[in-house]
Formats: sequence, structure tokens, C-alpha cells
Amino acid sequence: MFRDRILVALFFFLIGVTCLVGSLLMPFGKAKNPGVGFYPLLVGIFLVVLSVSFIIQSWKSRHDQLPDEERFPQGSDLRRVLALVIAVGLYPVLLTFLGYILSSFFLLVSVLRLFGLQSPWKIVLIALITVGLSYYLFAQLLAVPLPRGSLFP
Amino acid sequence: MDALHGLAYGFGVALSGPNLLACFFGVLVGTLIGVLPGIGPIGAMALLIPATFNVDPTTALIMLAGIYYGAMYGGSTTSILVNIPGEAASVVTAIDGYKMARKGKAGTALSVAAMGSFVAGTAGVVALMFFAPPLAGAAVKFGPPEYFSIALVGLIFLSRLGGGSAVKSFLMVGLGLFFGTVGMEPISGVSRFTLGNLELSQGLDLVPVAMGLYGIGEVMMIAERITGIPNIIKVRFRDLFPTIAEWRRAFPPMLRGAGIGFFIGLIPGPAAILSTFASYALEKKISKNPEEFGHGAIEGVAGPESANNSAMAGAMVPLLGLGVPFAPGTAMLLGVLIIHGVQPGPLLMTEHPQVFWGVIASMYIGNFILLIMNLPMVGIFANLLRLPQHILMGLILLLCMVGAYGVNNSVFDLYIMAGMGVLGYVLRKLKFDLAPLILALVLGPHLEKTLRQSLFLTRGDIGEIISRPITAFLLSAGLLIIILPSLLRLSRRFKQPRRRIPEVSKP
Repeated sequence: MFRDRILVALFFFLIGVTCLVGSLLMPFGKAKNPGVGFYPLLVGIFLVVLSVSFIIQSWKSRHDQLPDEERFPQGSDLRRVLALVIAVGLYPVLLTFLGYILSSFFLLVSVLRLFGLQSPWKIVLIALITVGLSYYLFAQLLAVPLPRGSLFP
Repeated sequence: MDALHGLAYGFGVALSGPNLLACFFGVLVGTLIGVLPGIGPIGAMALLIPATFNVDPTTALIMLAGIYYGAMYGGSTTSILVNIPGEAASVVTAIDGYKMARKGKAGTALSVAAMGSFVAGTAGVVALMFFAPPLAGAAVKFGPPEYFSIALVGLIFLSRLGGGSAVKSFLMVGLGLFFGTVGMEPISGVSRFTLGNLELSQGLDLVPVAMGLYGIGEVMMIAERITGIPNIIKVRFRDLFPTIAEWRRAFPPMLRGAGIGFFIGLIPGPAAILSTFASYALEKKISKNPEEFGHGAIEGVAGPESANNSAMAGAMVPLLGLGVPFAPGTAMLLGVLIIHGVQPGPLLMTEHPQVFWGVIASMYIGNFILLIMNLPMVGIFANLLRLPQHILMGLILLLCMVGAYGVNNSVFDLYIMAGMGVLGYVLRKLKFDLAPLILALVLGPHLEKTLRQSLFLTRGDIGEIISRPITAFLLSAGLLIIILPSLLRLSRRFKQPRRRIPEVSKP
């Protein structure tokens, strides 16, 4: 849909402008002696020019519904996707306090529930086994340091 | 020592007990690490360097090379199975490999990837043996302007291989380049676009970005449409291995990929990722059914998978011949050599022949071990897809979390990953191709470095840069490739009115 395309174009445009402005604030020297801002300046210009083209392109085709463009979900589908985002975003927060095992357990429980598993017994069991196995695999076998959580000394 | 004698000597060295064990261990660990999304081959090699301190340099090198190959293969496993590239080089494999998996042909894709890696690795080793000395000499003629041109032309050209709107592809390139600038600038130490955040000064690591865009994004897309069906994919036993017809289709791309990969490996820069993109572009161009690409064309898996293996072999040429590492993987190998007191360079062949030939022979052996180890595993991996969707999604998410966290032990990376997930989801819904973004993210720093080096070299004289023969050739070829489609379209529009007029003037 046109509105979505314009929003994305604006996103790119904003990034381009940020890049441009940011690089102008940095010392960018001359071609003889390129400074820190030289390259980002080029990137910023590139992005701004392209996002303007994209806006123009989208405006010209604003009445066409491009066949393979997918629509954003509505209703319960949208809620599921948002719930997933929240779970994924919350995980790092929990990780620092509760540590790997507990946070991962909660993550798995949410994901299992989200993707349709109903029985609470199965949810808890699968989550426990998965977290346990993963802990063994990562922490013991591969010696990846996993956070303990600030609640646990 | 001529090539054949050297190789025989090398096999003798490589097949000795400890070296063989090291090779096997390296390949095994490498594959495991590569399969788990996150820690790529470089990370894996870095983790295991301390383990090599007490060992013979030849053995150390053999093990590390095995890790690299194993991780390359493992990375393509996750690309194919769940559309999450294990590392940058597997991004292209995911394009058609995942589509094949969704059609139930995961086993086929995995087998082709394994065989392609073997074929290319072997071919690469052969080329390495015979061409190392002369090629090393030619590679020296390339300087920063040439590296820059290659990277630039490569970036612009290869970002188009997904097809679709040029503006969209380039927007993704721009975004990727921007992400590449975030962080501390290597030469001056100035932090760019970090908003004062210390974590961001480290830059946006490829792993959280790729995991977010592909992994989280993919899970989000699947979350959208929960159907009652628990499994997404049916895996038939018949489809576990490719048919004869499929092998026949896959074999020529393997050879072509091996060729492209080797030559790209000779050039500085992220050889593996560039070679996969180049191979994919080539296969699509010369295919009789280009519309299949993007929907499960077996050539789109065979070519790139071969290319990234022979790119490693190609990258060994400047390393072993000149002592110059052109790719991050070979830089690690260089480090190991130095730690062990072996000075790489043109004298390596004569002073430490057992290192030179032993490593070459072990690359061959490593590829062979990879093949016989992984072909049986194909069945296991493909069957992983039969897990119920909710378990599979949970596993993927957890692996992404650990992978992204593990790179820098950073919780902040998890936030980056989450953000990238949302971005990746939105972009994919609007049919933006993610691959150019990753390519630009990886190439960006290299592009900037070579640009600045070129400008320093010529004291800002752009004319001097463009007048260098190789650079001029590359840049004009690149310009031509970019303009050509638009020119063709314009010429077609001029031809059309002439055709219509005779119809209109009929009485």
C-alpha cells in the first residue's frame, strides 16, 4: 500500500539526513586528506537521493496494488506478532536480572504458548527440557559464558 | 620441490596421527559451531587458538583450517533449514536453499551444499598447488584504488541479483553502509553515530544484525499466520538425496562456482561473501530458467556453496605465497603462524615445506572428512524440520539469543537484534531484499578504508586514481553494467512507436 511505502521511504530519508547532518558535524577534510566525516557524507547523500527517488516512484505508482506486496496483519495475527516482539525485547531485560536459565524458561513458555501449544504441562515440560539441554550444550560443552543474573550472587 | 612431490610430501605430513586427528577435530567442531547460528568461523577459530599453543604449527594450522571449512558448511545448514544464515557467506545459500527446504527438499539442498563444498575445495587446492607462486606475483599489482573499485562495482552490481526495483536494492545498500559507519572509526578513534553509548562504539556487529533481520524477522513472519497444521514442511525420504538429474544440474555450477570463488579469494576483501554473490549472479544469468531463482533453483545453492569454499583456497594464495592475509579467516591463520614462530611469506615454501604442503594436503583431507561426515547427517538435519512448529520456533529464538549474546557477551546486542528483527520484518513485508543490506554492512568498512587509502596515496588526485589501468577498466565496466539495463529499456521505448504507426494508418 502506498501509505506503507511512503512511511518506509521517510524512514530511509530520515536515516539519510541523519547521516548527512552527522557527517557534516564531523571533520571531513578535503579529498586530499579525507577526514572522519568524508565517507558518511557520501553515504548520506546516496541515501537521501535514493529515498527521494523512491518517494517519487511510489507516488507515480500510488494507485497500483503491486501484486506480491503483502499486507500487514490485523487483529489477532497482529497481536501475536506484537506479543512476540515484546517477548523478544523483554528477554534481554530479564537476562540481566534473572540470568540465563530463568529468562530462557520464560521466553520458551511464551513462545510455545504463542505458537499454539495449549497444554500447560507440555509447555512447562518442553521448556524445562529445552532450557536444560541448551544450558548443558552452551555452558558446559562449549564453555560459552552465560549471564547468571544480578539477583543471584 | 615441484608441485606433485610437494603434495605427496604434504599428504605424508597431513595423514600422520596427530595431524589427522586435528583435522577431524577441527572439522567436527567447526561444523557444530557453524550450525549453531551466531558464532561464525572467525569466532570459532578465535576461541580455539589457545588450544593450539602447545601443538606443532602444522597441526595447529590444520586444525584451524578444518574449523573454518566445517563452520562454512555448518553455516549453510541453518541457512537452508531455517533461513538464518550462520554467517555472511551463507546469506546467498538461504535464498534458494530455504525455498528448496520449504518444498520438502531440504536433504537435497544440504547434500548439494556438502558436495559442492567438497568439489570446490578440491579444485581450489589443485589450483592453489599449481598457481600459488605466479598468482601471488600478479596480486601484488593491485593497490587500494583497485581494491576500492572491485568492492564498489561488486557492491552495486551484486546488490541487484535479487532482481526487483533498483531503487529498493540501493536503498538497502545505503542502509547497510550507514549501519557500517556506526561505531568507532578505526583510524582516528572518533565515535560515529553512537549517541554517546559505549556499547554502540563497538559498532553494529554482523551477527546480531543478521540474526535479527533474518532470524527474528522470520519467526515474526511465521507468527503472523498460525494455521492448525503443526508442521510447516513435509520431508519425504525420497527427497533426502538429490536425484541423478539434480546432480547433473548441480555439477556445472559447482565447477563454475569453484572457479569464481578461487579468483575472488585472491583479491583482498571479504572474499567468501563476495564469491557467493558473484556465483549466484552468474548462475542466474546463464540459466535456461532464470525465473526459478529465488524459488528453489538447485544451481543457486550449488554455485555459491562451492564458491565460498574455493574462495578460502584462493585466499590461501596470498597468505602462503606472500604472507599477506586478504580475508579475516586467513588473518587468523597468519596470527597462529606468527605465534608459533613461523614467518609466512615467499620463503615459507622453502624454509618450512611441511607447513606449506601439509596445510594444502590437509585442506583436501578436511573437505573429504566434511563430506563423509555430513552426508549421513543430512538426514538428521532435514528431519529436524519435522519438529512441531512451536518447538522449532522456540529453539530458533533461543539459539538466536545465545548466538547474538555470545559474540561479545553483550546484552546490548540482544536489543540490537530485537530492533533489527522488527526492521527486517517490515522490510520483508514490503518486499525489500535483505541480502544487499548485509553485503553493504560487511563491505562498507572495507570500502571506506580503501577509499581513504586511495585518496592518501594520490593526495586527493582523483584523476590519478581513475587513470590507473586496472581501476579504469573496473570502474568503466561497472558503470556499463549498471547503465546497460536502463539503456536497453530506453531503446525499446524508441522502437515501439514505429511499430504502432503502420497499424493505425490501415484504412
